[in-house]
Amino acid sequence: MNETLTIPEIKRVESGDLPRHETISRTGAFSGARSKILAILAIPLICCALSFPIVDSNFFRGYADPQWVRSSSQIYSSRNADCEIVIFGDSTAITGIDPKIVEAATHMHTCNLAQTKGVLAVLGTSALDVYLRNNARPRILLIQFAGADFYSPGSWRDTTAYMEGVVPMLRFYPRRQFLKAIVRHPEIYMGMMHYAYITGLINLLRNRFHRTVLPHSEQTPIDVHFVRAVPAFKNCDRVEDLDPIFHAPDARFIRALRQHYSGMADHLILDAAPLSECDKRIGFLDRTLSGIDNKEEPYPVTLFNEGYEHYTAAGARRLSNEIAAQIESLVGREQRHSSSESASRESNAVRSRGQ
Amino acid sequence: MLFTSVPFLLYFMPIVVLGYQLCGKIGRRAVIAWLGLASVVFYACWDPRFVVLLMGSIAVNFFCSRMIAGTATYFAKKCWMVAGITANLSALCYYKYLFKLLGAFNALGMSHHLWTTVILPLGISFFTFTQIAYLVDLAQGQATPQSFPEYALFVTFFPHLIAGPILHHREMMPQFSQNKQYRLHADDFFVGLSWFILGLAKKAIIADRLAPTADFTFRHVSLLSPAEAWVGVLSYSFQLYFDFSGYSDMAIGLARMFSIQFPMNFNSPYKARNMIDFWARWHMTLTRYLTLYLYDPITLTISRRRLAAGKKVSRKAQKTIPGFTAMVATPMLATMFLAGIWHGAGLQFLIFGTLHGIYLSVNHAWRMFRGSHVVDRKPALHTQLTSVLLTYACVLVGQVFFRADSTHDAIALLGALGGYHHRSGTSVLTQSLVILLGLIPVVWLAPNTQEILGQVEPSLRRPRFGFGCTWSWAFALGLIFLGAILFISSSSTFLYFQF
Repeated sequence: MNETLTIPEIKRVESGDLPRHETISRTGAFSGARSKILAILAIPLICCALSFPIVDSNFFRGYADPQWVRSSSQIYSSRNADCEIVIFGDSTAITGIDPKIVEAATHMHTCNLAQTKGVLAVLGTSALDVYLRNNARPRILLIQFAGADFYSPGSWRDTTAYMEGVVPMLRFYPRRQFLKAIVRHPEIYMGMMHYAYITGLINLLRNRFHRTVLPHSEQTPIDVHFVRAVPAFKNCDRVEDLDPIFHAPDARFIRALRQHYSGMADHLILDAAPLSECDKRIGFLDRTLSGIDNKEEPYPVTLFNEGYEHYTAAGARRLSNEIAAQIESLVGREQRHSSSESASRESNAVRSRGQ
Repeated sequence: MLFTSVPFLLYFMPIVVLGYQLCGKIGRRAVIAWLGLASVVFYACWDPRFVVLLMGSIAVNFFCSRMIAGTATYFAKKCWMVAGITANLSALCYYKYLFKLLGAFNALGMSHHLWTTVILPLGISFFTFTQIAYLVDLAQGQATPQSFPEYALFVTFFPHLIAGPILHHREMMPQFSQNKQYRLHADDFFVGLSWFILGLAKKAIIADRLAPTADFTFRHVSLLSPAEAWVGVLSYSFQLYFDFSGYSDMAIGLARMFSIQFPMNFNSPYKARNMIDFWARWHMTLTRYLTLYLYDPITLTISRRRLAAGKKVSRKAQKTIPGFTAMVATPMLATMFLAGIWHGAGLQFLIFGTLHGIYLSVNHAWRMFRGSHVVDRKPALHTQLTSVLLTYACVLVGQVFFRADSTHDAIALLGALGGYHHRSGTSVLTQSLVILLGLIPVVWLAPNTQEILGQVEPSLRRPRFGFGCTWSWAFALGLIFLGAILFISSSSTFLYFQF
C-alpha cells in the first residue's frame, strides 16, 4: 500500500508493528515468583477469613455496628417485652409509623420492629417470628409493606450482599443456615469484608471508640422508627426521574402472611404503605393489590423525601395518626361487638328470668 | 460473568487455572479445548440462550473460512467473504440497530406498529468484528486456515470476548499454535496477576466512585449549574477512561496468566497533544481495526479512482485542497462516521463519530498545510500544555454526545458547560470535585499500567517505581487487591459492555 495514504501515528500499531511476543526474561528477574504470588493472594484471603469473627465479636457489636444494624438487632435480644401493638414491615414502616403517636392515640404500649428491605430480602419475616416467640403475645400485630413489596421478600434472588440481613444471620441464626447462604451467595465474602473493615472503621471513628450498644438490661423499648434528615420533595420532578419496579404483588404471599400470623395476635392488620401522588405505580397497584386491610389515598409528594415511600416527619405524623385511627376503629368495633353480645346475653337472661 | 464478580474471582478463575495446569500435562489440544469450554461457560453465565448465537456465529464464519481457503479463484473467495460479512453484519444489525430504527420511525410518526425489542447479546460487536477481519485477511491471502478448536478459542477466549481488546488473528493464532509448554509459568502469572490487580483497582476504586456523579449529571442535564456540569462531565470522562482501560488491563492480565499476550488498548490517551495522537492512544485496537479494515480500503478505492481518472495520488497531491478533501478528509469522515454508528444507534452517536472525523481531518490539514519545519520543531512547554488542554476539550465535547441519552440532552449539557442556563444548581457534586482534583495528577502526570509494569510496547522499556518480583511489590499488590475487593460494588457493570 502506498505509504502516503496512511496515517503515521495509526500505522505505528498496524500489522507490521503488532506487539512482539517477547517472553519475559526467565533468567532470574522473576525468581521466587511463586511465593510472591501466594503472598499477593494470601493478603485478601486472610482478611476475608478474619472478617467473620471480627463482625461476630462483642467488641464490634458494641462499638462499630452502624445505627441501622443496632436498631434492627434489638428484635433478637428482646425478652418478655409487653408490646400491646407490634408494628412490623419494611422501610415504609420504619420511616412512616411513629409508635409514640400510635401509643398516645390508642393508649396501648406500641413497639415498631420494622426491618429494612435488605433484612427482609435475606431473612424474610423470620425476625418477627423470633420476637413473637420470646415476648408477650400482642393484641394488635400490624404489618405494613410498600405495595410493590408484597411478594415473597425472602427469595433474595439478586446478587447483592444485604449486610443488614447477613449480619443478624451470622450472629443470631444457626451456623448451618449461614453457611448455606454463603454457598448460594458468595458475594457475602466481599460484603463481610467491607462491613468489617470499612463500615466498622468509619463507625469506630465516628463514635470515637465509645460503646454504642447498651447492656441488655438497659435497653429501651423497641422503636426502630426514624426519619431521614433529607429535604422533602417539592414537586414531582425528582420523583419522576426514578424508575420504579413494577412488581405485581403476590396474592399467595399475602394469604400466607395472614395464615401464619393470624394466630399470633388478637388482631392482625395487613396494610400497604400509601404512595405519593407522583408515583407511576398508583394505577398498577390499584389493579393488582388485593387482600389487604387498608385503602389509602395517595399522599402529597411533599410528605416524602427519598425514593418513593420514605416519609418526612409530617408524612410519618399523618400515617401514624391514620394507623392509630384504624386500630381504634378495629378495637372499638370489637368492643361494640362484645358489649352488644353481652347486652344481648343480659337481655336474654332477663327475658328468661321473666318467663 | 463480570471480572469483578465474586463467582469469577472465587470459583471461575481458580478452576480454570487449575484445569489449564492439568490439561497442560495432556497436551496442547486438551489446553485449547479446556480454555474454549471455560470461555463458553463464562459467556453462558450471562445468558445461556446467547451461547447458541455465539456458537452459530463461529460455525458460520468457520464454514465461510473453509470455503474461502478451499476455493482457488479470487472471485469465489471474494463471494464467500462477502457472504460471511453479510451474515455477520445481518446479525449485528438485527440485534443492535433494527428495533431502534423501527422505534425511531414510530417516534417520527412514520409507523404506528408496536415493535418488540431484543436484548443485545453481550460482546456481539467484538466477536463479529474479530471474525470479519479474519475472513477478509483469509480472502486476501494474509491469513492461514485454522482448525476449528483453535479458531473457536481465538474468537471466544474469555478475557477478550465481551469488551475486547479487539484481537487480530495474526497476533493470536501463532500463540495458540506455538509448540510451547502449556503450563503455568510463575513469572508470567506474576505479571498477569499484577496487571489484573491494577486494572481491578482502576475499576473498583476509581471508576465506580465517579459513576454516581456522572449518572446524576447526565440524568439531570437541565438542572445543573455550570460548575456542576463541569464536575459531572469531567467525572464521566475520567470514569470512562478508568473503567474501560481498567477492563482492558484486567483482560491483558488474565491472558498473561496463561502466557498469552494481548495488544495494549490504552496508552494515557488524555496526555495526547492532538486528535491523531489521541486515537493512537485511546482504544488502540479499535483504531487499528478501523484503519486496516475501513480507512485503508476506502483510501485505496479513492486513490484507484483518481489514478484511473488521471489524477495524482502523491503526498504532494494530498497537500492541495481537492487532493486533501478526496484522499484524507473523505475517508477519515467516512471511517469515523461508521465508528460512530458502531458505538450505537442514535443521532448522538452519529454526531460523536462525525465530530471526531472533523477533528482528525482538521488535525491532518493543520499538519499538512503548515509545513513540516513547524511540525518537527519541539514545541515549548506552554504550547504542549495548550495542545493537551485543547485536545482534551475536544474529546470532552465528543464524550458528552457519546454518553447523553439524546442529542437534545447533549446540547443542553453543553449549554450548561458554557454557562447558558444559569441554574441555581443542585449542590450535590462537591465531594466529586475533591475526587477529581485527586485524579488530575494521576491522569496527566502518573505513568500508566504498562509503563509501571514495563512489559509490553509501547510502554517504556524500564518499569517505573522499580516494579519487579520483589516482596515489597508483592505486599503492595496484595494491599491494592484487598482495597479493590473492599470497594467492588456488586451492582456495577462495565461501560463498554453495551457495545
